[in-house]
Amino acid sequence: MPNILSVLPEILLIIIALLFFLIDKYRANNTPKTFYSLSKYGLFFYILGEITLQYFHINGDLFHNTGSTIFYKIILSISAWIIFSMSCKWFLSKNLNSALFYGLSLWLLSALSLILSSANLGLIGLGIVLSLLIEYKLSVIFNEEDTQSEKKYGIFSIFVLLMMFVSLYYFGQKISGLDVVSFIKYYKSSTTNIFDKMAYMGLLLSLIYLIGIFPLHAGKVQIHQNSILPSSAVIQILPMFAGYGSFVYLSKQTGIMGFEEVYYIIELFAFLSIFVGALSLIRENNLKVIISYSSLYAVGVSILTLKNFDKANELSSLIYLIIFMVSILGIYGILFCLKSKGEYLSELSSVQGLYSQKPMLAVLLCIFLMSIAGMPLSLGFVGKLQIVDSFVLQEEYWVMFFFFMAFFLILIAYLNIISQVFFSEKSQHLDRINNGSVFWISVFIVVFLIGILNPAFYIENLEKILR
Amino acid sequence: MMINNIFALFLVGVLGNIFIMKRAKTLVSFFLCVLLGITSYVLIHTYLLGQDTKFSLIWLKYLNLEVNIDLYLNKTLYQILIPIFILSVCASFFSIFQKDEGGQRFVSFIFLNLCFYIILLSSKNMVQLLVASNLISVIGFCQINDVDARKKYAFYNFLSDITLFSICSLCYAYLNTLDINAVELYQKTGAHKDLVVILFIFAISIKSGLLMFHNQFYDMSVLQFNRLNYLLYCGTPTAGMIILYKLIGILNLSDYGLISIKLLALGTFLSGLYNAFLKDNLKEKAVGIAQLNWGMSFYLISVSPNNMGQILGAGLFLSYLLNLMAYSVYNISSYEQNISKMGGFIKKLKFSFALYFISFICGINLFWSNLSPISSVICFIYILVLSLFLGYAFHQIFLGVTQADERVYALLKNNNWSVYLIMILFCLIAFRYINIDKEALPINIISFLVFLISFIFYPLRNLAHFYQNEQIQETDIYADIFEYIVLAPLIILGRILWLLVDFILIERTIINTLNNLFSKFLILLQKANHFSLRTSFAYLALGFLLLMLWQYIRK
Amino acid sequence: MLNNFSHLSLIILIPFLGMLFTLAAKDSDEIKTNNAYNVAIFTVISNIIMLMRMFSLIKVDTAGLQLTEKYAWMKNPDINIMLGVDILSLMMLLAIHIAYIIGYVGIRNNNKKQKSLLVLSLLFLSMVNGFFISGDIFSFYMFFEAMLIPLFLLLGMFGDIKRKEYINRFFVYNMVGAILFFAAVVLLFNYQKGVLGLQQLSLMDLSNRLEYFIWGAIFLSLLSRIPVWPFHYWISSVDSNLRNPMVFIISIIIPLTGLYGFIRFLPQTLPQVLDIVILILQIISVITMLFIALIGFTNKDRQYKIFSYVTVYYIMYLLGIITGKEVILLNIVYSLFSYLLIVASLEIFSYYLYKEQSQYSILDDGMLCAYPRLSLLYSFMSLAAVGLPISSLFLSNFLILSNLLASNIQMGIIMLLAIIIVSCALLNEFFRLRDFEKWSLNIIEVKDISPKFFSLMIFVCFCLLMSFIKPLWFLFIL
Repeated sequence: MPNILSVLPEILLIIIALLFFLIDKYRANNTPKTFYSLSKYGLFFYILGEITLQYFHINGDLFHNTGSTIFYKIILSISAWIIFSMSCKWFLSKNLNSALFYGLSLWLLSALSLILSSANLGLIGLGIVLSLLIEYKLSVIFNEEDTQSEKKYGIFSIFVLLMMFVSLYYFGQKISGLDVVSFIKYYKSSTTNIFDKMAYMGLLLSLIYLIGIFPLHAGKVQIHQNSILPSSAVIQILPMFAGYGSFVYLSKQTGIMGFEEVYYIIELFAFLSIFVGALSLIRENNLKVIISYSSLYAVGVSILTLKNFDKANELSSLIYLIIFMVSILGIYGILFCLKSKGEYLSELSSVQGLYSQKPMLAVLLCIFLMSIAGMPLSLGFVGKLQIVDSFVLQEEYWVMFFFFMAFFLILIAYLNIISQVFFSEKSQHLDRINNGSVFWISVFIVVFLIGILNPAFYIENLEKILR
Repeated sequence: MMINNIFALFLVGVLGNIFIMKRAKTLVSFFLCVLLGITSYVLIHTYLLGQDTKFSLIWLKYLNLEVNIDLYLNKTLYQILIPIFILSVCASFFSIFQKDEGGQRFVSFIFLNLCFYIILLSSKNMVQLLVASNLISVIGFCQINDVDARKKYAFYNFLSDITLFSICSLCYAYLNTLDINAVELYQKTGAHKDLVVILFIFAISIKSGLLMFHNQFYDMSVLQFNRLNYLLYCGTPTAGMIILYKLIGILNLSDYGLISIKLLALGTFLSGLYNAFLKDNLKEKAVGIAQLNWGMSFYLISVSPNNMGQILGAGLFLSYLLNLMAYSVYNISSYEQNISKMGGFIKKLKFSFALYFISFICGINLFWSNLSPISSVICFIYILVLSLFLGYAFHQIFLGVTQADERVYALLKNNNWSVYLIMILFCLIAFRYINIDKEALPINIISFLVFLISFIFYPLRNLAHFYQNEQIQETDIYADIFEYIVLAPLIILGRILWLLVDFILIERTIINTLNNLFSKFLILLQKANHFSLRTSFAYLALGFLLLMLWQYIRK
Repeated sequence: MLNNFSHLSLIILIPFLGMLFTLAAKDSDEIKTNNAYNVAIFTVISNIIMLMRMFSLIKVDTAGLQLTEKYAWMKNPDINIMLGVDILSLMMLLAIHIAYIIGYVGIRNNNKKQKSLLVLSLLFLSMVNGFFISGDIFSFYMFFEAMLIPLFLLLGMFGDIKRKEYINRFFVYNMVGAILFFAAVVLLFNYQKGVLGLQQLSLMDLSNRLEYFIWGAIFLSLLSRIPVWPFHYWISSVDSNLRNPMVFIISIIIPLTGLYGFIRFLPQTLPQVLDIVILILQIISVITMLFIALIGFTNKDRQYKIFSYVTVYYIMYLLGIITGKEVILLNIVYSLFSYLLIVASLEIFSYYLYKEQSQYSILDDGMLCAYPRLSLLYSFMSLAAVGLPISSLFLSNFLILSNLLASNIQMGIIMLLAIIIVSCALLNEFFRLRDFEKWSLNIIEVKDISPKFFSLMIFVCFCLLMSFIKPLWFLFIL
């Protein structure tokens, strides 16, 4: 009994999502707010369940609820809640049915929970499959424009999944059970042949695909561009954080990062992610894609910081990523406010001269962008300071040098955005601002202010939680 | 007492500039003149009593630097100051009778000028000297009420002051003291002595309008005569002489210092001769006369700096007197400036002529009696030249067929009583201080003879033809030299540097190249990032490749 | 009554709050009020009063930072923020604030996005205040970089610079400096472990490679703010094209931050191996001075002349700071006080003329003839700018020059040449504006500057004169 209870919150989410479809089918006069409210309660109980059942787990390495996994799940839930809240107005303004969106998002959350809490390659694989399928579906809902890229993404995802299944099957034959510890024992002890190596690469790339770092970042970036804004937000933020969390959890539980095969190559990919992310930003015109590349950069930085997985590095990396997430949510909040003649704007050229129309939005966009860049007197600076300090403590001077180069590039990109927002003449008239988003943006600003004036407040509390 | 005087001078100068009276201008001018007269009297009285003035105040003190304000006047310094005060009184006296816009301002500036002269003369430290020199330049600038004249004056004096500034700062660096008297020790502790001397001579030349830098005063010929005279004799040239006197030790740092000054003085004298004889304009002639005085004075100062008081006093006196004559003729002839348009004035101006001549005799006697002990040869030559010049000029003014306008000739009268009064007073003063001795008599006779020959026989008549030569009258060769040798190269160099270094090298070459390279790379990357199955598989393949490479390296 | 604890924080906080109030201020067209402007002016004046209070509390002769405040900012890593002031920082702050007042009064009739200009300028002022009162390296760095954002926005929105890439480049090069500084700060923090007060930094001996890198990075980052070749190019591209006087005044504070950093960070003992580096820096500096002076002399644009004047003097101060002598440093600070006021005033006058010129569509030759009050002020400021003894520039420059001439006569002469050329450029411009012959061709009636503005500028002239008589004359009043 106790073992099954550990997955109760996830089951709850699945049930609520199923409920959406039933309500949508059989109840008349549904509004987007209906499903939002249900999601809200669902998330509330999910968080409550996770906190209550935090020491419950299924035997073996199938499913664990520890302090850190609960923490990641709570962050995911809060992020989801914020996105759901901002999306509600979006659906209301468009007069579209939000059942599918909220349902799929809840399922995505449960799939990501599975990935976070599992130390079994099979279950992780299942989680990845489910999340990729859900992401694909989320990217195509209400997408009346060209869905070719989504289809291509789907094809590519299937290819990656196939690769993963083949690897899992291969290792399943070699190892009894698919837990990660056994996998490492096998890989270390036995003489590996070419097939072992190829299978290992397949597995690794699947996990990387979920997080969305180099070399498997391209597809995710593209689907963000074409998907609707709420889907884009969900696809962007939740899997990235979950993938990162899973990566950290796996590494701590199994010592996989101590495994050279994995460690150096991940570092290399993270390193390349930073540069590709920063460079790709410079000429980009779509705001959603800009956010994607910023995420690529940020995740790369976070992973690069996790060298020895000691507490200091982990804390630095996590702080950086959380601050990044807050900034990204803030930017999404602004995107939810940018509307012209009922259409939501996502091209950079359409927000030229934003300052002349909505000065506060422009200023907030500037603050959030500078926070991602890590400029002083923004919350992002605290994160950047943590990162650089950890590089210095690890005596990774060359890594620090390249980090600064990438930071410089990302700054150039953001400068271009700020120039267009502040210095250009207005391109089109904007509609009234969405109050829901304004509320959340205000919350973020308060968070920022507390973080700048007293960062110790956040850092110490985070430290306690992680302990 | 002197301190109170200085303070009063300053206060009146400042208030006179702030509160400009639009009515009762004559009364105000008279009042100011009286005030100045009283101050001068106090000064002379203090001198006659043999009282020295000593006052010192710590002005700035921080870390290891102490700068004082010193007010120290002894007999020699009083001797230098008194002529300047007297000439200032004359200038303010003349301003009562002039319809000069800004006359009150002019006189107020005279007060300030005198105040700064006292500070200059009594300076014991370099900072005070520099400050006073700068302020005298500023006062001169304010007194020039013509933009073109101001321009050259401002540039020249700025150059002079900044050069002096550099010399003093260099001396301070090596001597570690601001004391002026310590300049002689620079010989032992200092470096770049020749450079210091060259710069010093350069600074003094500019300030005093010596050879090559005199054209700033020729530009001032557009000013009112009274102002012009004042600036020539109580302005920066005299300040330059005082600075030379104060810092004469610098010239001894180099073997060529004193010789250079003498050569410059000679050059100035010759230039003065050229201008005095060949310029048609009365005011320009007056400037030429001033140049003769500067040349003579600088020469004598370099020979005997200790007699600065006599040199300045006697030289100023005589030279100013001649300028007063020119001023007087200018007033009487209804402001006719060109001497070539005069002639035959003697019929109507007998009294003026007589007075001028008597004043001249008094002047040369005063000059001779004070300065002949220093260098009788120089003094003799100077007197001869002036006599020659005066005869030459008087012939053109008083004798011959008149070239004057009918109206001008008709209005000719001996009515310039303000100048006559001053001249008479000068003669009286001269009589008081002339030492009539045996040596003076031959000088008087010779100078009279020279004057007479020049006046009656007019041997230099051919020089008058140059009055019609536009090149001599209008061309300023030194300005052209500066324009083509100094300014033009600077402008060309500036343009080349901007175009070549900033624009072509940095903008077009370095920055554009980097920009283009970077942009091309980014465009490639953007194309690559545009999602297609091909791109995704390409990235995937790259990932595999890196993994395999890692495996290979690890082995 | 406020205790020492909160004074320094207030100096940062007041402009920031002022910025928020300015943002919230509503202007009414009916009553023709300018609330935002009034709030901004009031903010700056309040801060000046605070600064005066600081002056009354500190001991002028005492070395080191006083009135220090310490805040625990982060535990991991262990970073404490320290604030402190001495006579150097207070003088700089006072000069900046007075320059701000001059700038604000100069733009009072400029209604184009005035509120945004005021808000951003107050934000910048807040950052700059934080910079000058920083007592430890972290806060120093944070404000060093943070001030760039409002500057960037100001340049882009109000600079009227036609080519936007100049602004981007300007910002990017400053950011490179900031990045270097950040790297140095973090390395230093880990190297020294807790000892990060500004006063302690100059006592460090340079003995190993890491220290050389740290100091090299710091110097390079500070140097990137000063218009020394090759950094001069983008600074000149931006500054010489600025038409908004307030933005120009703000932009010339940036090199001041570089100079201030040098004053704070220059080690008291430099190893011999760095002599060659210092020599190269000196050579490049004097050549840049001469180069910029020549361009300023030939360039007909008044803005470029003012910019070249700014550059030449900043480099001269840099050379003075490198000598490291305490008396020179003190005089540089006194000189900078006057220098800032002079440049701010000249810029405002230039802007006024430019506005009038645009309004009446006339050439500016001889324009000053029609504006007697402005002419008087302009002539005073021009004469003060060239170093006449009517401001503290005179004595301070005397001491700086004496040191530089003695240390290297060739460089000293080139420097002197540059100063002469740039001063002649300013004087030439002044005379061109006073050319009555050219002006008399215009038959228009113009309005001189208002009596209020005139009174303010007379007060500024008075401050300059008093600064010549006694640099800290206002202490006697306090």
